[in-house]
Amino acid sequence: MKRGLQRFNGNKDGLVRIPGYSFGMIRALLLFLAAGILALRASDPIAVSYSGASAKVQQPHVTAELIPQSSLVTAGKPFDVILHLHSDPGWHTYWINYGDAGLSTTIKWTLSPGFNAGPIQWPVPEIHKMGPLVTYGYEGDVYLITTITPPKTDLSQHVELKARASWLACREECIPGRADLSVGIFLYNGRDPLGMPVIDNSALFEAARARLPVENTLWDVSGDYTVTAETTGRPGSGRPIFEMGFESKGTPSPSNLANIYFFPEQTNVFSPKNPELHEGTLKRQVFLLVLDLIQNGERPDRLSGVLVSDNALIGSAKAVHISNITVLNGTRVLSIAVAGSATVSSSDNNSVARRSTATTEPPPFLIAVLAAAFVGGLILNLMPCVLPVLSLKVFSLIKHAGENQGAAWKQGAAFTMGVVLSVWLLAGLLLALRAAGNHLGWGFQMQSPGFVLAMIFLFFLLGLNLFGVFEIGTSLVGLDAKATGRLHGLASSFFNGALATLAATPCTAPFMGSSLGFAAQQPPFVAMLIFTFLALGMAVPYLLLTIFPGALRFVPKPGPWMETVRQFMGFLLMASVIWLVYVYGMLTGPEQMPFLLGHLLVWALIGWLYGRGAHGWLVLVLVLYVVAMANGFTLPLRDVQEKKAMQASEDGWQNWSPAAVDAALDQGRPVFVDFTAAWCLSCKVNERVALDTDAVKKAFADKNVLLFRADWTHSDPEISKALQQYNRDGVPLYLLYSPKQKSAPQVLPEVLTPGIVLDALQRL
Amino acid sequence: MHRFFFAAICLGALLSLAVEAQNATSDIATVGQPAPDFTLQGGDGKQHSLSDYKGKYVVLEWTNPQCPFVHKFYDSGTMQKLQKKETAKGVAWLRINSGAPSKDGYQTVADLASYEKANHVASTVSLLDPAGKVGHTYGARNTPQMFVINPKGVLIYAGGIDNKPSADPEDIKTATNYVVAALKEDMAGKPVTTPTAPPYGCSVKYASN
Repeated sequence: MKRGLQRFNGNKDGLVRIPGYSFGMIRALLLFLAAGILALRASDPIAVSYSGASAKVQQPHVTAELIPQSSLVTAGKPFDVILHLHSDPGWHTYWINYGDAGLSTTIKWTLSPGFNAGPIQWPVPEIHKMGPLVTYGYEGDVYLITTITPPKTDLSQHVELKARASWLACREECIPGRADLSVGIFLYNGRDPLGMPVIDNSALFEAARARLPVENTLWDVSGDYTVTAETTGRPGSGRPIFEMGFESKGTPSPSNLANIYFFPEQTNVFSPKNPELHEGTLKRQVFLLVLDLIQNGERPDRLSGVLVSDNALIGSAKAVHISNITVLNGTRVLSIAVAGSATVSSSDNNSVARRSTATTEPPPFLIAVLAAAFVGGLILNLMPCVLPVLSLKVFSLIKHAGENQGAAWKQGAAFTMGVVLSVWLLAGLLLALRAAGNHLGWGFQMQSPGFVLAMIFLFFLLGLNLFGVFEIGTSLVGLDAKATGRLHGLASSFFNGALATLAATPCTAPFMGSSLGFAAQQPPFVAMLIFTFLALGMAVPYLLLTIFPGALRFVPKPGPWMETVRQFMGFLLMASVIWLVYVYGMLTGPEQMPFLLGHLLVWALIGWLYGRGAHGWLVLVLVLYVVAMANGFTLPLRDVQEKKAMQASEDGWQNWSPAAVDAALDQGRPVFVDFTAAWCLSCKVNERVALDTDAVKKAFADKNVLLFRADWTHSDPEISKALQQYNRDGVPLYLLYSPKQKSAPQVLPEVLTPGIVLDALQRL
Repeated sequence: MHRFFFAAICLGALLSLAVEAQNATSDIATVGQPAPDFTLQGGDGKQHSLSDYKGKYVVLEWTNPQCPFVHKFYDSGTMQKLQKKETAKGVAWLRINSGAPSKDGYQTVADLASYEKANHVASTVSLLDPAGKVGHTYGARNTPQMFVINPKGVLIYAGGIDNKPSADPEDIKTATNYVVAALKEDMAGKPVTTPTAPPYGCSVKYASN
């Protein structure tokens, strides 16, 4: 006995049964005889032995046995029986609430008439993590106690307690188990002299009961299903939570609640995350727990559970069973003052009010997206596509600083309108086309050779204009606003804004990829709102300059230097032209290049003649040009799809298709996919500075990576779909697949460096 | 200028990251709301999207060939019968295995095809979600675990397959099947009596994090 206790004390984890029959053979023999005599006295003439426990039933990874508190029970007096489950190392069985997955252990009793079995009294469970899921149960030994009430009877007799125990044992894999257990006890009327030894398992039961949580005597507990004030993308989609308040019953509450956890007894209600603890001081309330709810879980009216802490809560017990938690359903009685917590209310109807405000207020998340769009728009002003156009507008402002200042803000407003309206037009077109089933993304207009051609001519003429080859009476970019009427000046500002937008769109991707990807998945209203903020961000510096012309004090006075800068800007525009020519070439094929350049030459000639005022020659050239076009000197305006296969397997890059990627992965090869387009400048930069460097090429070869290029220069629904899968609305997108994680590739950032790619390869 | 430009880029990148992080959590399937779309590879090697079944009832069944609770429904032929019965009514029945590679019950396309054949699976298609992305989106925790989507694309049921949490096939006879109930009620234009119920069974074998 003493040895057993020592063993128990010395063994933290496993309870050890301390049987009263450790005297071996002699005792067993005596017992047998006594039982036999008693059995003869009773109605049942069968000789019975009392071993104090059922036979052990072995199932895969779990052994089960049934142990009564004593081999002798007194009529009418409740007694306890233990179902002892022993799991192999690494295996566990489950609590009353199995948590995220599993199945609770059940006991089905088959008892003699007059016997009643109560519910299982569950020891405090352990937390088991299975990947991202959390379950509640027991590893090693678990002792599940059931209280059985025998009938009041005058007849002492032998009784069999029969139980069918069912459980689920899991490690990674799961095996359901079942055991039919039976143990004999002697039901004693309490009067007759008892001439039999009794097998007493009290020590085991005491130890097992020490593992039960103690009943709650400290708090009145009530709570409320609600949502957090902080919301995600969709309006009113706050995180569902349960606010559970603990109100003191008058007894002093434990002061230090370290590492609190709440095990709910109901399945499919609470998420297993650690609760948020708010300690309050108002009135009698002690503290409040905020528990996350499962998204599609139930919201039962009756809740119970076990609160555990690293510190003693009642006496020395660290686990308290809370049998009834009052669910207030929105009519909060509890009030707890918690500083700085948005989730906690301080009066009765606040949670209801909070719920409604959560749905009407714009969610902070949307504000973050709008802010990102705004900043993105701001940054766009610095992009090479936009800078020349915009700087000219600023110049015109500088030039006319001091003249009709009152009207300056109108110029700014007109410019802003130009930007906003053209963004709306473009975004509206995009959304409409997409709604009509087209797989398009931001920058889609660059997939149209006609559009690219128009941009080439526009940029080319603007460039010539900046070089001073010709001046247009009413300059395209409003340089000579002085010479024109005010109305024309406004129209020019408006046009300038629209031009800036058109020029800017292809430059959007590096900064705006995610925001635009997000926008495209939103309802049209939200999407347009995001695009609007992008436009406002783009327009705001210019608008501010016109509203506060004083800021212009910091820029140099107008003078000849402006002419110099203006001509320099012409070079930037010509650089844009080179890029657009390249895009056009990718769309239509290299054989178009001489024709395109020929056209540009003619346009340059026309511009030059116009600038010289040589109108006769100008007319002649124009006529010849028209004649030439009528005779086949034309450029294709439509996409030439069959050119697409042209760049297959160039430099070891293969044409992308989902099937090809899968095939490579099935062969155990890592795969890198470069989603790109000829018109995507940042894609080209990434390819040049990162992907095509020797270090990266060597690393790709060392790791035996198969390289795929998904070219979105031309519209391609399959690529559009793949981009959307990764929440992108445009290129670039870089994916690195490991054969071990076939559908969870690493997504590399939109701006690549060799280091980023090498690091990603290291993680393979 | 240079420094401003750099700061602006950093800020822009940070904001984009914030957007992406938020995006990841904002699209969780919720009963009564539109079911999030997804695209997964099927046992036929092709990509299948939820949106391919627009206008139809769709049943999503999370499964794992090794799980005894899945065996409970397949060895008895119950699940196949159910698939046959409902698909005959025009319901699209998609089985999804979110088991990660190296985990118990993970399947490749080839495994899936041979499993379907051997077990006479009668679903519309079986899909592989080894990254667990779709499983997490739908909050699938158990195999089996069921989801029902109506022709408007709204999730109308999420939870366990029936009301008898056990591994005993005998219990199927007396259990109330929540998927059958939800389909029947919604087809009759009635509200679904039990839109959620505790799922039970094996844990979905997601990749460890």
